[in-house]
Amino acid sequence: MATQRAGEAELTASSRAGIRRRFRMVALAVPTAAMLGGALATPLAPEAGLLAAAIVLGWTQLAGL
Amino acid sequence: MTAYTAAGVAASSAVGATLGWLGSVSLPPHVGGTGLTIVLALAAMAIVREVGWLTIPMPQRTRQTQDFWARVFPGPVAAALWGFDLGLVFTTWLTFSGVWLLVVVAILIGEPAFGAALFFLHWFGRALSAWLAPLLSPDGSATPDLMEEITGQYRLFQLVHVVGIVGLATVFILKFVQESWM
Repeated sequence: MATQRAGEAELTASSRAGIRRRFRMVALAVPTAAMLGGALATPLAPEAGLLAAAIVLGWTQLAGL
Repeated sequence: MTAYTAAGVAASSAVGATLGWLGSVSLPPHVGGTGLTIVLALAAMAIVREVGWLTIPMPQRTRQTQDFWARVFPGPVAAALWGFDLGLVFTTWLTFSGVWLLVVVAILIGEPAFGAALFFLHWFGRALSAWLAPLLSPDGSATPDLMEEITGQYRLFQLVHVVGIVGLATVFILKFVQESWM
């Protein structure tokens, strides 16, 4: 019984660690992709860089949940 | 999700288009030195605020979107109302201050289509998290953990927001320089 509970706790901790890793990866991947795209497009049209920055600013509103 | 996103697209695009129209009828066609100064000053204020060097109050409505809509309306209708409410940007709490920079940029550039695109993409960034959330949780029972992680990463998002503001200001400088050469 104790072993089963310990196993479940370990699984929960592992699951939570997996969520944290995936979340941090996505949290940074989205704005990074937007900024890279903006940096590549800006020499052709600065407006593209402004649009990319808008994605980043919108994405970070997630913190307010 | 689709109703929420679509309604937000409509609202945000309308906000941006309106700001662009306001700029088109009230300002000259090109960003001048005054416009650049305003953008850089606002960007500096926003950065100082977000890194915590100064406490600067941010103009905003201290209101959340309405939970009770879910009790009164069918699911898709409530979702659309939430999306529209949040898509209007300034009818609810703002987490960070950079959106005010988007307002000024949309007005200064003075093109309704560009303003609409700017705020459409702001909403796209905002709504994207809702579409990605199911990919981050192995199942619904992990949602509290995900919410806890989001809350725990507030500072990270705030710093990314600052990077976004710096990027926006930098590109705006480039636009000003480009227009000065033309």
